[in-house]
Order: sequence, then structure tokens, then C-alpha cells
Amino acid sequence: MNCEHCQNLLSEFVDDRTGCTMSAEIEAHLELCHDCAGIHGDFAYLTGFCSDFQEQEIAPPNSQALWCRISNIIESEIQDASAPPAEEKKKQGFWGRAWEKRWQLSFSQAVTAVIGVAVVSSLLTIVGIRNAVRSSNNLTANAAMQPTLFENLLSKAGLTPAPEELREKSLNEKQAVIDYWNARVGERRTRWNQRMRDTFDRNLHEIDQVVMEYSRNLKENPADSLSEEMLNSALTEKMDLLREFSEL
Amino acid sequence: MKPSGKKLLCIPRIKNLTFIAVAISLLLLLSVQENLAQKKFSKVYPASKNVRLQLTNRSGTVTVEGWEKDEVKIVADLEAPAANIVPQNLSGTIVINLVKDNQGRGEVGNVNFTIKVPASSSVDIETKMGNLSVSNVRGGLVRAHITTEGDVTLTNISADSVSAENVIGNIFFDGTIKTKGVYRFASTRGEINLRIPSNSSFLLVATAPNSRSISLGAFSNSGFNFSDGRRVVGQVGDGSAKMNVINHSGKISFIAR
Repeated sequence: MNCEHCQNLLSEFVDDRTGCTMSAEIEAHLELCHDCAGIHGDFAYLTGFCSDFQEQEIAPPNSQALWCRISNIIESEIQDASAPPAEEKKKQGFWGRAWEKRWQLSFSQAVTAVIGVAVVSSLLTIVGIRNAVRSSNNLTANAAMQPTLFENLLSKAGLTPAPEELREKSLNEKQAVIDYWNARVGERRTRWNQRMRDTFDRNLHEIDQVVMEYSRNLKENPADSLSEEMLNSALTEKMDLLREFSEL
Repeated sequence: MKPSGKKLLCIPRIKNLTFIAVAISLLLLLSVQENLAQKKFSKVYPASKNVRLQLTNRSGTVTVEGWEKDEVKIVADLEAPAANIVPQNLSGTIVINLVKDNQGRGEVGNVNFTIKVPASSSVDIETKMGNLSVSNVRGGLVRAHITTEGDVTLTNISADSVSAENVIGNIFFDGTIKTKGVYRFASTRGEINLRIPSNSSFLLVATAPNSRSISLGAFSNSGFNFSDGRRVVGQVGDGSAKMNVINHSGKISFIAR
């Protein structure tokens, strides 16, 4: 048997389709011929590999697990591509992460959110209008100065300043104005006669007395809205007194 | 014995000197008296029925009376050192501002005004100290403001808007409450007495935080809320007018007429 003949029959030999005689001849040639033995080796390896692969392919796949794996791989690849580096993520705060988050809301959740926003904005508008009306109408303001439950809730939630903070701020502003006019009066009072100086001092003292009285009441009872209102009124009178006498 | 010639000459000389000294003293006294005497200012302006008087005084009393003439008559007694008075007639408003007219002057004496205005005028007067009095006025506005001390007396007033304020002193109002009128009376220490017709209608907020003395007299009704006595809120009649009374350390009294 020559090499050409042997190599032509190798495929059938590997598949075990040659007869016994022929197979014995081919085996004898392969033992003698090194080249043909190499080719036979390659054939045998390929055939073995193909048969192994075929077995794997024929095995019924778990499609659910397979798709799960695929989607996991895809997601992880997408996240790797789009996500900022870990350090950058750390720098973003709660709001930054919330902004980055993809919000997927159901219809009912979306409707609830819209209604919630509408209710909150309506309440805020009502409070704003009430405050505006209150400041423009002193008479009704006198009768109703107590903060509403909603206003209290807002202040407790930290959305609006607490009444004490507002009062403190307002008093500080008034005190600054009083200090300014007091300085002006200090410059002017040397020109007044004694009678005018005495009258001014007496009346200023009278106003200071009621200011002290209301301040004391407020210290004892910070929720005393009437004392707060009267304190504001007395301070305004004091400002007016100082301002008018600074013109003399 | 004959008197000596020297003595005869001396007696008339002494008499002359005495006469001159007395004369000089009299002249000095007269000039001082002239300085001490009050100066008088008087002026009359023709005015429409709804003229507005706007007066800002430094110190002294101001008395404004309504009359049935279409003119404004201003009379002022000026104590020494006499103040400058420069009234202005600005398109229906008589403006007198003694603070502005005497700015920078240290010593200025009291100025006591007596002013007659048409009864339907609006009157807006203020002073740093001294009494203010307005009577027989039925215009749109009556405002009397004393920066420090003095009494405010408003008599026979019928105005849509009335305001009276002082620090130390009494406030007395005797007048009518007009429909949709606005009335404000405020004092720090003094008494506030309001005499109004018994059929008046108004929404009342009266506050006397320190004295807690608020007497509604015949106007008291079950609808009033006295809370802790510092403030009274309520309505009389249909409550069309608004009345706000504040007396920090004094009493508030209503008198029905």
C-alpha cells in the first residue's frame, strides 16, 4: 500500500468503515509511514473533538438559566461602560444618586405622586396668601396671630423657620433701626432746650417700660402672640419717636 | 445865711442823672418786654369745601374748629424765640410744617394755633408735644398725632377715617361711626374714652394688655370675646366699620350717647 492510497482511505478508517483486511493493511502502513501516521493522528483528534462537541450540543440546554446568564453579562457590560468611577460615585450625595437613578413608576404610583405634589403646592399657596392677607390687614391680624397647625408642622419639619427664630430676626432688625435713630438723636439733642430733652426722655422711658414688660412676658411664655404683637407695636412707636426727634 | 453857690449847682445835676438813668431803665425794660411778648401770626385762605389741612407743629397746642365758611383762618401765638411759619397752599391742601421751617434752630418757642376750616375739610395735624383738639369736622379724614405727650380731644367728628395717637396723655373721641369707616386710637399711658351713638355698628379690637381695663358700657354683648381680659374682640351691629384701640398701660372706655 502506498501513501496516496492510505491517505485516501484514512477518513473511512477513522470512521471504522473499512473492512478488516483493509484496516490491517492501513495499520501496517501507518506503522511504517511516519507522515501517514501523523495525518491519521490529526484525523483521529478532529474526529474525537467533533464527537465531543456534538455531545455537548445535543445535550438539552437550560434556556432560562442561559438567558439569565446572557442578560447578566449584558447588564454588567452596560454598567461597566456607563457607571462613573467608584470615587466619583462616592462624591455624589444622596440627591445626586437619586437624580442618576432610573425611575420606573407604575401608573398608580405616578398618579399618586402628581396628586401629592398638587396638594403640597396648594397648601403652600394657601399659607402664602394667608400670610400676605394677614400682613395687609392689621385689624384681622390682631385677632388671629396664632400659627396654624399646618404652619407649626412646616416649622417642625424644618421647611419654615420656627416662630421664635422669626421673632428673634424681626426684633434684631428693629433693634438695628432703633440703634441708628438713637445715634442720630444723640447728635441732635444738644441743640434742644431742657424742656424738650426732659419730655423726650420721659416718653422714651415710658415706651421702654412697656417694651420690657412684653419682653418679660415673652420670656415666660414664648407662645404669647399678644405680647409679641404688642412688643412689635411698642418698638415701632419707639422707632417713630426717635425718627421724629432726630429731625429737630 | 446864704447857701453856697456850689451846692446850688449840684442838686439839678443829680436830678438830671437820675432822670437819665430812669429813662434808660424804662427803655431797656420796654425792649425786654417786647422780646418776651408773644408774637402773633394770622392769615386767611379762601378754600374749597373739601380742603385738607396738614399741620406739623414742634410744641404748643393746636385747636382746629370746623365752620360754615369756605375759608381757612390760621391764627398763631408765637412764644419767644418765635418760630418761623411759612404756610403753603398747594392745590387744595394747606400745609404748615414748623419742623421743616425751623430745621437747625436750637431754641424755638411754643406755637399755639387756632385754626378755622370748612366743616367738610380733612384735618391732619401732628405735634412733637402739646395738646391737639379738633371739633365740628365731618370730612374724609381726621388725624391727630402727638409724638410724645399731650391730650387729644376730638369733638363732634363725623369722618370716614379717624386716627388719634400719643404716648402719655388722654384721648377723647366724641363722634359718629360711619359705615365702612376706619378708626384707630392708640396710647401708651393715659385714658382712652370713646363716646359714640348707641346705634353704631363696628368690628372692634380693643387691647389693654397691662391694665386689662376695657369697659364696653352699653355696647357689651354676648358676641364679644374677652379671653384673658387683655383684649376684647367682637362686633356691634353689622360690623361694617373697623375700630382698633390700643392702650398699653391705660384704660379704654366706651360711652354710648
